[in-house]
Parts: sequence; C-alpha cells; structure tokens
Amino acid sequence: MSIQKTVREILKETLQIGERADAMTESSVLLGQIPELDSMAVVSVVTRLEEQFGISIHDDEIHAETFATLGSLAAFVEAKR
Amino acid sequence: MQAQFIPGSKGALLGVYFPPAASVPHRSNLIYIPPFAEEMNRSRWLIASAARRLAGAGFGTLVIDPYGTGDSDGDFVAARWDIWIRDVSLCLDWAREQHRVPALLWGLRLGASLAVEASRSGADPDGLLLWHPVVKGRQFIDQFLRIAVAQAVTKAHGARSVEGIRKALTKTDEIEVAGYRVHRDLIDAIDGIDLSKAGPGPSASVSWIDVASTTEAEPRADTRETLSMWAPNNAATLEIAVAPQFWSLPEPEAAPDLIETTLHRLEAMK
Repeated sequence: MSIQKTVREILKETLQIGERADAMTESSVLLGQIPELDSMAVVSVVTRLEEQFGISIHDDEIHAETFATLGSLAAFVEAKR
Repeated sequence: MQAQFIPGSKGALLGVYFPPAASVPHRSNLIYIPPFAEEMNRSRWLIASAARRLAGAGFGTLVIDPYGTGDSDGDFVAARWDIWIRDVSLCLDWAREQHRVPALLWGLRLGASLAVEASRSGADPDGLLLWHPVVKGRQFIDQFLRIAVAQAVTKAHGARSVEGIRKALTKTDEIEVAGYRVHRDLIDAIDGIDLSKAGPGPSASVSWIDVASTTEAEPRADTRETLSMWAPNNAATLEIAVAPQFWSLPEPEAAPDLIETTLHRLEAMK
C-alpha cells in the first residue's frame, strides 16, 4: 500500500470517519476541515504514524503545515523514512 | 448493576458492581481499574459492555472511579499514585467481604500498570487481567503532554514542546492538559513506572492481553521485554486480540474478540 493510502487508513481509524476518509485525495484539507482532528486526535495520529512506519516525530514537527492536507502529511512521513 | 460508595484511603470511591447472572456459578470477582484521564471516559462504554458479558458467564465486576476521578471524592489535581495503590487493596477487601470467591484485578492501560504495582505493594489479588498495559510510564506521560503541544497546533497558539512543559513543571505544581489538571507528584510517579523492571507479586496468576489490528501482528516490543523479564518468577500468558485502540477513540467501538479472549482466559485461570 502506498504511504498516502496507509496514512489515509490511519486517519480513517483514529478519527473514525469511514467513507469520508475513502474519498480523500492528496489535496484534501485536514486541519480546519475535519472537526474530529482535535489535539487528542493529532497525538493519536502521530503515535500511530510512529508505530506504523517506525519513525520518530519530534514536538517541533507537530505543526499546522504538516497536517494541512493528506498530501503534506504523507510527504512528511515519506521524508522521515 | 449496583452503585455504592466504598471508603477509600483519602475519600469515598464510587463503585458500580455488575453481579454475575444468578443462573450460573459465581466464579470470581474482578476489580476493574480504569485508564488515565480521557482514556477512562472513552473506554467506559466498552468496559460496561464487557462487564455485562463477563457477568453472564459468572464473573462479577466492580468498576471503580479512582480517587479524584469520575464521581469519586476529590478533584483530579488531588489524585496521587500512592492513594490509588492503597485503594486497590481496599477494593479487594470489599470484594472479599461481599463474596467468598477469588478476587482478581482487571486493569486497562495505566490501570493495568497500577494493578501490577499494587500487587507488589501489599495488595494480594488472586489474579491479574491486564489489557494493553502501559509499560514505560515516562513515554506515556510524554504522549499525554504532547496533547498540550498539539493543542497549540490546532489553536494556532505559540509553540510548546514536551520538554518545555516538563521544564515548566519544575517550577510549578500543576499543569492543565486537555481539560485535566494534573499535579506534578502524580506525573513524577507515572514517569517512574517501568513494568519491565519488576514483576507483580508472586502469588498472582497473570493474563496479559494486547490489542492489535490483525491477528498476524507482532507483539509490542515493550510487552515482549517485560514478559521475558518476569518469566523466572511469574508465568504470565500473553494473548493478542483483534480490536481498535478504543481508549483513544471518541466514539464507542465494539471489541468482541477482546472480550471473548478475556472470557476464555478467565475460565482457564484458577
């Protein structure tokens, strides 16, 4: 599965958004468009990304630009691997 | 379901008891110890549904709100690890006063860690049922403090860091994270948890169940490390159940595999 698809699956599970995740594309806006993406959800997503991809995400990498779109989040993960 | 207040070491504790079905033999009582802060809220529904299922098979469950949480006495900022530890023993005593059946501890996440530590500090449960324990307390607190970091991101405030928050905690006694005011003594105590360093009390039989998204998942590294350290003194069983991490999900989710695995384990325990 591509990184973007895996990231989308993680968002789907941790945010419990079902079909809304299936419909996401690279340019789909995350922060600000998904009400479920609050601070607790951001931490859940970050933790799951760390576990799934075996990467380590630092506090200063948890910022709005990373979570802007599905594409930006997937690119962030890609760059960490 | 029977709700009552049980005297704790610092204040009254709300305990909701799910009695076993009258049509089956009463096998044992479980004292359920919930996870930390928001995880406790998010897992309530599933725990109630699990307790009902277990009750149908002859296992009574006492679901407690630890001191400072839920409807028990005390504010969260007054909660301390050692109060919680002492109260575990008091709840075991309560269960043994009610019925002459084995009394086990059932913990989820940090509640499981608390159960292990309590069994080492004077509580003598007849068994431990551990759901996805927190092995390394410091890492757990880092993730908790990260919520405050993420709060800054989602609200476009100034940047915070876990390190910055920890530094601030050396100068102040309390911190607020996602609506929870936590005292630094409690954070210090949780930071000090490392289940891989010392096992539960010798008499307890231990059933450890982690959740994963598939049956083919590898056990967590923390789990493997911990159980191999415990092995000389404690023969714990390890199972992996397919279930979502329901304690961190805002909407209730079912976890039938976890509950059935648990029932199977309980029936196999003494």
